[in-house]
Amino acid sequence: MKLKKIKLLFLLLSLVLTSNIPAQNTGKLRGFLTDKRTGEALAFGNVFIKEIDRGASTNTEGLYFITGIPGGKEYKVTFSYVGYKTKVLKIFIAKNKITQVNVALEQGSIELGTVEKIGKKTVEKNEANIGLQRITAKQLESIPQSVEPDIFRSIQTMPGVRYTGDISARYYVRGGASNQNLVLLNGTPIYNPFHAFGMFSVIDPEIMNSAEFYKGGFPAQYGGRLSSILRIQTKDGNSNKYGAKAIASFLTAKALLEGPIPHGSFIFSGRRTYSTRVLKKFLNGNQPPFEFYDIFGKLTYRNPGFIPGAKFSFQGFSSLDRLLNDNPLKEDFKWVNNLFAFNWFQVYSGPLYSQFTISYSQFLGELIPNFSKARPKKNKVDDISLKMDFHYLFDNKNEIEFGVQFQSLHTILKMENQFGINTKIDNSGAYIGTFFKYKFLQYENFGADVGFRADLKGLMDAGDFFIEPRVNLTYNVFPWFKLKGSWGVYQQEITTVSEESEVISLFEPYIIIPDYLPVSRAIHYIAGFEIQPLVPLTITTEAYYKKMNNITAVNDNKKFLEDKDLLRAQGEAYGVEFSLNYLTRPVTFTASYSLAWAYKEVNNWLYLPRFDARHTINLSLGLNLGKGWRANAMWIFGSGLPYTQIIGYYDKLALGDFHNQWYIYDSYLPYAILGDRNLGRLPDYHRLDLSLAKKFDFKFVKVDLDFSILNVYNRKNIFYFQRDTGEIVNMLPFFPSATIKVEL
Amino acid sequence: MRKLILIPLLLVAILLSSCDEPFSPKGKYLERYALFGIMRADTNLQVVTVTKSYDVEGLNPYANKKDPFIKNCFIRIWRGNDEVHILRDSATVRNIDKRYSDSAHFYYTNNFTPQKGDELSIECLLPNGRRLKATTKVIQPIEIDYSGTDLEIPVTDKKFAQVKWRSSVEDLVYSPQVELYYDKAVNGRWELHTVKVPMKYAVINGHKTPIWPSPSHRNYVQIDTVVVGQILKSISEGDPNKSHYRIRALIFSIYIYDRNLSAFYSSSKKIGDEFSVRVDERDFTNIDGGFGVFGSYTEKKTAILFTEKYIRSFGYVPLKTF
Repeated sequence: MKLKKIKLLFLLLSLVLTSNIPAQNTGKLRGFLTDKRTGEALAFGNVFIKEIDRGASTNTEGLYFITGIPGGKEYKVTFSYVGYKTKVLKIFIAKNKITQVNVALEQGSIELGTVEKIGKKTVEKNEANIGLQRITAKQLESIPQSVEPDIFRSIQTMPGVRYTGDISARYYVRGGASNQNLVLLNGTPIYNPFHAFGMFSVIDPEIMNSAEFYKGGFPAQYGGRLSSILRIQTKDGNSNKYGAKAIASFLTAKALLEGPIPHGSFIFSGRRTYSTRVLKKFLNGNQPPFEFYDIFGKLTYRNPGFIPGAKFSFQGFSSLDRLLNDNPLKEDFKWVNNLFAFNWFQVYSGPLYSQFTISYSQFLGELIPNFSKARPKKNKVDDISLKMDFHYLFDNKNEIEFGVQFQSLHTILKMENQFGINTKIDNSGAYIGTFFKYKFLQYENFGADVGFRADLKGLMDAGDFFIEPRVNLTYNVFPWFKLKGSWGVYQQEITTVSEESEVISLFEPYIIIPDYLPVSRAIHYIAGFEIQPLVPLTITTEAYYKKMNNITAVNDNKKFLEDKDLLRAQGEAYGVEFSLNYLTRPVTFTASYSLAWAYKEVNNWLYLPRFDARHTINLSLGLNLGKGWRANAMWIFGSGLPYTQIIGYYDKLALGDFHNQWYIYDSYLPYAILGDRNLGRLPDYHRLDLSLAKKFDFKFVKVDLDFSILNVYNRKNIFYFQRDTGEIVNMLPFFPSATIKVEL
Repeated sequence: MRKLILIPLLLVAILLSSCDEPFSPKGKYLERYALFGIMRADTNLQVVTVTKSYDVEGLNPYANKKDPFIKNCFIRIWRGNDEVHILRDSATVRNIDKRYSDSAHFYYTNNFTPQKGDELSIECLLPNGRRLKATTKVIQPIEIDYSGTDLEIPVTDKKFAQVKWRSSVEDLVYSPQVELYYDKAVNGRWELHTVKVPMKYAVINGHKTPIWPSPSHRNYVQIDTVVVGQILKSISEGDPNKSHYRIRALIFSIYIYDRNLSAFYSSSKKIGDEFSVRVDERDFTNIDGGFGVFGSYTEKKTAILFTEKYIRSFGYVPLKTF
């Protein structure tokens, strides 16, 4: 059977490769699209040649590549990017050559709020990218902020993405658990990308250049998770002049330095808390004694004299959260993320580019008990990865991408569960995998991204020799109507050992799935369409079905040491998502609606996970008021989340120290009895957020002021209720916040 | 365009009138039962309580004033397969829980002392015919780990005196207590006195607060030797006749909870952190057919002595024999 599959694969491969008939007399155009002031890559920008109705989008490095251009002619090439002045250049395309033109675009004036002249739809007519959302740093600014601007919180407003509480930046994608989401910083995984109980992400938006978020159907270059991929690309730093930024919110102060170095640039940023008083509103009046910081540094080196077409990046990232009680009877906590990576991006003389990454990612979480009753807890994840990806472009527009990945992962977990039973897990694994994919872009109205991921050696023994096929298709029925579809198989070999019942979690440890369980796998089926009846208006619909096999569930009935920590579970999710985007110069309006179902089955018991929300609506309105003023409004609605009901009380023995008293006679306290898991539904969630921002552009200084109000009408959205007392704990109340950004 | 702007404004107007919705987290009441029985290896009096669940109007369970104790249960405890004890009901004055006006009811036997290693079973037949069942095993004795235990005070190179022990069973809860045993001469006769010794003193919210040993999974207890000195000094404070005091030893008494009682204690005390919020965590029980726990505990005692020189430094009389 396996041999048959391999034969079929080779047949397909030979068909694909021979389909690329060498094009005579054609030329290629490539180059980098950058910001004129900073030299930063402009990701997802558009380059378009009207004469031949052909174009390309820039990738996250700002690289564009247009092949198969009839050579020996001069063309008018349009370079366009949201918020920047469009540039039209006359470029002569030589026959059988690659013409390289690097273009720097100038930011549009604040007053005009320049919009893109070429729509994505014109350039990416047949791009098979269902389930993909792209976010630029500029787009992030237009979302009302809760204390800190946050990439994760912007993701939470996308259709198909759900969260369980205002205080948490954790997100759940199309019925998958939060541990099924992979977060990559410049290609390196971050295992616990949260500050302060998951309230904020550790990634400071100031260092972000662009982000790609796959809600499902992600192509073959991504693996290791079942539900979603968030790939964040950072800035390289200003390669033209030195600059500095200082930003203050109610919670943190941060600074950013950037500037040129010989043949490159640098960027350093740091952020730390200076007061946690503002978080009382997040934690129901409780002010935890915690502090956090994160620092990021990146050096980029491009020297054509050294290696033409090469870009080297060295980056380091570190985040620390500490919860230090001044009471020795209480425990302390510490969470650390450390990342180091070397990246080599290479554009070759032919239509080929590659990416080589070697990285180390570490997460360390610790509980230090002091004189409390708690026992030490520790989770350590050490990930050393090596990745090489190659991207080749054919003259007929088709593209080939392949790569290899080596990963060495070591996870240590020491913890106790709610019954005081200890867990000690020390697992190591090595992953060797490869991927191959072919992008059919040669046909005007049809596009396909077909590939597979071959897991040659899994982190778990059961993960060896597994093929994950991936197919993404697009068909333009009419110029304004596009059909899309996706099918893929996904594998995951790590999981978290945290209780689903924890709505606020201090300790969410990652481990390699123990060998007594099978590997977690999922199948995605996605279909949808996209309509663009008018240039500024796009309507998209996606329906999905996701089957998750052998996912893990924490054994909350582990009473003794010999009981297993994790159980085998099955998951199923399906739904449909609609979104409408209306983007014009002064007004941007987006509306989305999701209808979704999610189920989980453990020990033949089917229940709704806590993030199962039937209806979700997001409405967002952005107004460019001119003269640097910007206003945004966002309304979010989610139907009530599942919860477990109280079905009575019993008098539970309240044990103390038997040395002092024999408690059995009358030391009892009422204790709530819970019914079957998640059979009840909380009331619907909704809230309106508003923000008003003003940019001041002085001669040497730019100042951004942002004032946001969350939950304008003070909706009492229920977060959870105290089991002991029945007291209802609400999410964020009416909550004003402000940030100031000064940029030199 | 104007219509677009009006949409969110209209929504605000509608929603402002519905910011708060009535909500009750309660589902349909279902009657459940609970049995609590903690067998003590240091006495022949064993006590069991059996109650039923209840519901209240609203969300305050303390509003329930009706004692949920179930009378007329038929309760038996087995040691192994041979020995059986039938429990009788009785009542006593309430000392702690004053919610109910009547006496605290319970079932008991005063003719049964569990031994280490015993396998115990309990069965409770409720008046409605339902049965609650459970088993537990009285824990084997722990062994003092003398490689980690100090034999006398003062200790060298350390600021604390430690007693460490080992058990063949993991994840047990140990409840240690440390007392200073001493004699005081009263009217020419030696009277035995004891005083509890904290592990250390800490400044909490600006106040010097004793940190007492408490039940935990730790297989050791450490006592700050400075604290020991302070306690020794305090027993004769204001009394110039230091020779009226005869110091015996520091006595460590360790209660060892069996596996069921350890798990029940851990889940009850929510050993973890105060910031994590679990909304529907499991309630530990080993009672088949209900809630509660059927467990046991045993006791182990050991001592750390004082050097003669150390005792005399306080002016006291040493007494090494105990």
